[in-house]
Amino acid sequence: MGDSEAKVHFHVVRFIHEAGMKLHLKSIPLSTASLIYHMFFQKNSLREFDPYLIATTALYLSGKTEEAHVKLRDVINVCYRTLHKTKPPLEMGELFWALRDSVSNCELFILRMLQFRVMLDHPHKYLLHYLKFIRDWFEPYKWDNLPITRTAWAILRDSYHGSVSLHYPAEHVAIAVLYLTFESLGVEPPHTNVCRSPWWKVFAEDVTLERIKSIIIEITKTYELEDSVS
Amino acid sequence: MMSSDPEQARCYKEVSVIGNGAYGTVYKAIDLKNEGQFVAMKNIRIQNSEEGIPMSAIREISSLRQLEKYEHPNIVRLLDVQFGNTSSEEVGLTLVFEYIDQDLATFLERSSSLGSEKIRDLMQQLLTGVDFLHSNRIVHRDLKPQNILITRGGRLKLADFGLARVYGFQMILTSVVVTLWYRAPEVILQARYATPVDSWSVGCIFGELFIRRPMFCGQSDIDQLMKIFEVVGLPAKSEWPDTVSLPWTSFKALSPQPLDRIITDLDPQAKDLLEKFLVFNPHQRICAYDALNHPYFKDDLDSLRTSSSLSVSESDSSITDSRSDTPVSK
Repeated sequence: MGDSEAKVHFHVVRFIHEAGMKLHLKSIPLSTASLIYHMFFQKNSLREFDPYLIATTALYLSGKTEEAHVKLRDVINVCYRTLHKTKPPLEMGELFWALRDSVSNCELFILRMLQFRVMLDHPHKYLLHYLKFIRDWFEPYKWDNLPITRTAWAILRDSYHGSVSLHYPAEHVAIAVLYLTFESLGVEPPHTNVCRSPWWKVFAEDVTLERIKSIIIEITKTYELEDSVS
Repeated sequence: MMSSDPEQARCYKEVSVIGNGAYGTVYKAIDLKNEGQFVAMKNIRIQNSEEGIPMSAIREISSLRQLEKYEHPNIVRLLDVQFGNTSSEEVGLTLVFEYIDQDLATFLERSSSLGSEKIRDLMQQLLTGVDFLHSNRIVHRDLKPQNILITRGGRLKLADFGLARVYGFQMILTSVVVTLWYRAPEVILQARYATPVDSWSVGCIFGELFIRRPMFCGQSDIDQLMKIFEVVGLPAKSEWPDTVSLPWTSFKALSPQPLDRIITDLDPQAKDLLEKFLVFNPHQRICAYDALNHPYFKDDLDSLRTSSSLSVSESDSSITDSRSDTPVSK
């Protein structure tokens, strides 16, 4: 993927998150929408498809796959408003009907393109489980003074600007996010020095430090991208 | 544009009709891209509207897709999803499955008596598949010998699951009668139901493996319930679901019959397990996971499966007769 394409995708995923929040979609449907978007553009070119149509449809579709159904009408109005902040809100009329037809046809097209592979395993549930687990290793006062949970959750959300969750198993991404959290806060999980095996081995037998590092490199690329687009 | 995607470019050539079920026609076809391998194709139609295709259809088909990544040995492979004719009202889809030429019904017709070890092997595979579906939050809802497939190598695979709501739409359009014989009482009574309905069906099939005919052949909903109560007895009034329209008083009092009177040669462990499946109250019915840990399965089956003794022989039945709590060496 070229650098300019990556920048477009970065903006579009930000759009997905912004519109999705306005639609009250929770983390999982938002993450699914981002991945559907990324999967689509792994197979297709930006020259042929409008990324915002794909993004809008991905939002609508993820509401369905994650059982958080939003009305197509609301998706169109919110996405239109998010995309055209200076224009007046969309009126019920020809443009609205045309957009609605586009999205519902596009939904079918994406399902066809992705062969219905739109139900995905996300790192969220693993990360939540690991965080709960690792919290018990810390002294309570120490844990309360560290923004570990918040930082980890933010890193995970940000990672969806890229497609790291498509390339690695969800457990491994969750571990890497936690690893990066500790690194960026400059903390070590308790008893690190006395343990015979590293903390992450508890959560996934098959993960290696090498794997963790390559996931982290992919995640940090997103932040470099953010610096270059803003 | 589509042809750039190898998965979309697959072609299938229909050869014959496998079955005409309540859910539409199933074809046997040749996968032209894959060395002429046989596949089973099932055409389904799903509703299309201004809001796109229904959430239930998307969720069901995509969850089948997600299940595929586990490649569970007791689940029939879903190889491909093809799009067909699409209109503003309907979307045609073709689900392409691996082709297995024999279901449990034909398997039972073809073989004489099964022998207790073969029955145990089939039951363990059946329950392993059902437990896999349940742990992935899928209720089969229609387990019966016709959609349990048996490969040449003796592997049992479940088919036809996970699309109940997709089919639900088509069911209204068809007049083909769906068999009641494996239906749990709560389904017939139209009460709330969940995974225990599959345990009931497994129980019916378990019994059928021994007696080689269905346990309960009802002709109607009421007749089916009567046939069930003749064996398991009329449940206590307190067990009767309170949301159903059919009153408890419409059935005559019947006491349960000992299962080994209906099924001769039923060893005590098999009898105990079967009784735990055929429980009226779904909350007290044994689940697939617990059933797999039942003493009935405690002997090591793997060693038996690899040996060639799976076909029935005289020596097999003598082992059965002498089988007790201590493992029998061969």
